[in-house]
Amino acid sequence: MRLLLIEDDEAIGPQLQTALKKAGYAVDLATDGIAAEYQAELEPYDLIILDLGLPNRSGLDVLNNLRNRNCVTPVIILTARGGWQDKVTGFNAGADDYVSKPFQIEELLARITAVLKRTAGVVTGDLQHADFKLDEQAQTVIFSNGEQSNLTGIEFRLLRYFMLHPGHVLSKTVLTEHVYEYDEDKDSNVIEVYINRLRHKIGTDLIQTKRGQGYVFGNKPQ
Amino acid sequence: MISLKRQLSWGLAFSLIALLTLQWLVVTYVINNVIENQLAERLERQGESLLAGIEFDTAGRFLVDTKYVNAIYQRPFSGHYYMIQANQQLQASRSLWDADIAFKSLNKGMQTRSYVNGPEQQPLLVVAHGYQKQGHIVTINVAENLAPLKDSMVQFQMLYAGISLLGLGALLLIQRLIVLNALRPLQQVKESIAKLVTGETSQIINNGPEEISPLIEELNRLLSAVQNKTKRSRESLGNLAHALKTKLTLLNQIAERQEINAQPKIRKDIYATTATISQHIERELKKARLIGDIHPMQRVDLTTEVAQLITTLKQIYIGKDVNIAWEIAPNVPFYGDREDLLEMLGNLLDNACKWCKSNVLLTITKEESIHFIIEDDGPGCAEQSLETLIQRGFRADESKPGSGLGLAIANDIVNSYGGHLIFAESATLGGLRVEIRFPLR
Repeated sequence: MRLLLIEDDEAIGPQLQTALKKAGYAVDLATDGIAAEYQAELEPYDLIILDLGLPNRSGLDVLNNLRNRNCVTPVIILTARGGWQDKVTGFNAGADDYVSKPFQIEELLARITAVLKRTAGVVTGDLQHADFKLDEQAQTVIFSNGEQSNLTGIEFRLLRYFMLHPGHVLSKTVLTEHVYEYDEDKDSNVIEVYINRLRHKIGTDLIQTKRGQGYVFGNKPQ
Repeated sequence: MISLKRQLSWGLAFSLIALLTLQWLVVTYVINNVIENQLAERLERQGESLLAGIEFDTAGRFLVDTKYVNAIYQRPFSGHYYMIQANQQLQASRSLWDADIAFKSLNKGMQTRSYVNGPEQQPLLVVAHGYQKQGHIVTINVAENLAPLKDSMVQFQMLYAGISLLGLGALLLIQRLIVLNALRPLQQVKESIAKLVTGETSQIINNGPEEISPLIEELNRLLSAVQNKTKRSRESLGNLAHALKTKLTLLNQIAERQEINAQPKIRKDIYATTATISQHIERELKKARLIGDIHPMQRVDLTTEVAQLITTLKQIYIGKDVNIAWEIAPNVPFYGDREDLLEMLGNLLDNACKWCKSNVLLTITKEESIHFIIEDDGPGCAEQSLETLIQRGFRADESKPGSGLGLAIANDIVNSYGGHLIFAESATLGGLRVEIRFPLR
């Protein structure tokens, strides 16, 4: 999952970026309203975290512009303005959720997960499959027989993306875009390596290769 | 209280009446005087003419040559009379017939003027003069009836009074129009101030006149100074709140550092403290919005605002599957500020959504006051706790998040509009029922 964090505060932004990365998201940080709007449209983000008080262009304007140009990326507003008029305006502009500062990281993470699952059309709660479930906090796979398997950062990001898009054909490019950050070294061949490692951990049948197209998560149709 | 209009009207009316009365008196007196003087002079000349006709014989008796006597003195009670006396001989004009009027004998060169009642109750002006002719002292009294003169004088007075009264009426009317016109700017100022109170305008309309224009200007200057001050202090309070909340976020982030992972108690304490500080900030910020400000009393479209608010709440509680039903009686006139309405209903509905099982109901009705009723099907509140809910809930210093800050803010807003909150058990849904009552404007 790749997020765009738009926050101009010099201290909060980078720290929040670190915290979100630790939670298994690829996070790009933008600090300027106009630049952030361009970035949000250019890159295929899964979610945008938007501070309202931005330099050059207010967060609300950014949100309005994005929605006017049919950008459907879910947006969580993060703001120190906690009044109901601001909330109504925010949701009216097309926000998916609203988190008031000061917030606790757990709360923000919970909201992010909820919005992501809602957008993907997945029932809220743990990401589950017939044989196992994904513990998003511990970033581990828990099998129905109680066994656990730890995942590395990229493995976790990949598996979560697969589980949020079951049955979809996901190309290597798409996977790369949603798993890596903007300035990270992207080598789509590495994806193959990670997928093989994942198959090893959760079972080879669950991720099928569609030759020339990409990968599909889910049981092979009978 | 002194009324300018009354003062001006009465003052002008009294001075007009006084002036016209005085004028009437003076004119009447002067004209009367002039006419009487002329009459007296004429009588004197008549007397002199009679004197010219007097001839004394050797015995000292006199005769009046009829050539010198006007015919009018021959007709009985004609209103013109004379009496001549010399050497104990008294001769009266034929017109006097057998009537008698008091005769005044005078020494040579003396003259008097008197008013006596003559025959047939005629008011007479008598001019008496003493002469010397051919060595004899002659006194001639000439009289004329004043009645016709007085009649025409009365006629003149009536006419003059009539014209004066008409003039007075016209002047009073004009004067009233002038007063009303002059005071019209004051009426405009009054209306403007009324609009100011209801927030329809922020300045008093200044259409003069010169005398009150500086006053209005000064008031307007004062008003905008106050407005600017309020705005500035609210802005700086808003900025302060924003800055503080940002720093509190930072504090939370510090609590989330890895080094503190092993110290969950410290993390919890920091979280609790930042939450409390944040609530204090929020409460005071909302209070500051309400203090020293006149509510802009615009009519708020309840249906639109409530619909938007409920859409927002549904979005916030999207994971809970809350059913928010609402019913607004048609044409409920709510005058106030949109932000106040949203803040008040938002907090109360949020509370209801938080505690409900799945149903929240908002009803807005209008009776002798406007009622906002918010009900939920949550656990509600025990009878004895309802009172304490108000007490406890309205203290913003609870450390538990969501401990009634919203209720406190809603209560502040309701109070500032002169309304009040009533808590009860919901008869329809079984949970808490919060009712707001607003006085009709």
